[in-house]
Amino acid sequence: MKWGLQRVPFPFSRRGLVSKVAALVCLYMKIKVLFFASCRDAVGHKSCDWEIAEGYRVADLQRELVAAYPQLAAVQQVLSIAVNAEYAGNHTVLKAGDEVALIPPVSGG
Amino acid sequence: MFKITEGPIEPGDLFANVVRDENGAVTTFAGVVRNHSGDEQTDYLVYEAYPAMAEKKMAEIGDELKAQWGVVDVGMIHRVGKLEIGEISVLIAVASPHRAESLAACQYAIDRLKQIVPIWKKEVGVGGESWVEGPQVAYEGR
Repeated sequence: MKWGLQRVPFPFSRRGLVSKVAALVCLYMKIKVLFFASCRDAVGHKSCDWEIAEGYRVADLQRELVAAYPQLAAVQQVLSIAVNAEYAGNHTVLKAGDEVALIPPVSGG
Repeated sequence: MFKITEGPIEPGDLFANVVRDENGAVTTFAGVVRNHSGDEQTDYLVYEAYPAMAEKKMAEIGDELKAQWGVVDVGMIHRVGKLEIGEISVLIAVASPHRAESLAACQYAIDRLKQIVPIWKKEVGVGGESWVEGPQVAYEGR
């Protein structure tokens, strides 16, 4: 389907169309979620793709992940979250292509 | 050098990386797989890491050492995969002009690694296997 701006009927302004297309694209923003150690064992795989909406925050992802994988509920209080290999707070806004990792308490050394 | 590796670590692996004409002291720390955890016998350990982030966090610890103690050179290697009793899991080398700084900084480096670097160990023994989880949340800023 071609988007011809000249064919967009009133009352959509050009600006309105752009923001609608942007919102549509954002509806299907994808991120990658990585699970390590006990989290990987709990969910049964190393990573998955996750669809997020615009303005989606780390806390939103965590809530949805726990809903999808109830076995994470027991560990979520001690989890840290990394976004693109850096620790991130609950309010960090996620964007398309981000790599988010669930980090159980570490035990290297 | 800040590296996650799958191959064996030798005790002297980092020495040449940190020894320099201005350094009069090199402190190295090796973490070695021991045969027990509490009262449980350990057969072997399996380490897992988030390599890109682990190497980045180790490099940040190196920067902390330089800022806090003025140490000149730092290297850290951590191994992943299956490790047998007696094998080196982590090696840290810290060099400074005088011994006090490299000794103190090396102690801090291993303590800090155990707090924030995304690496996990699984203990495997007669009683089964379990992931070890450190005493605290890796990131307190949430």
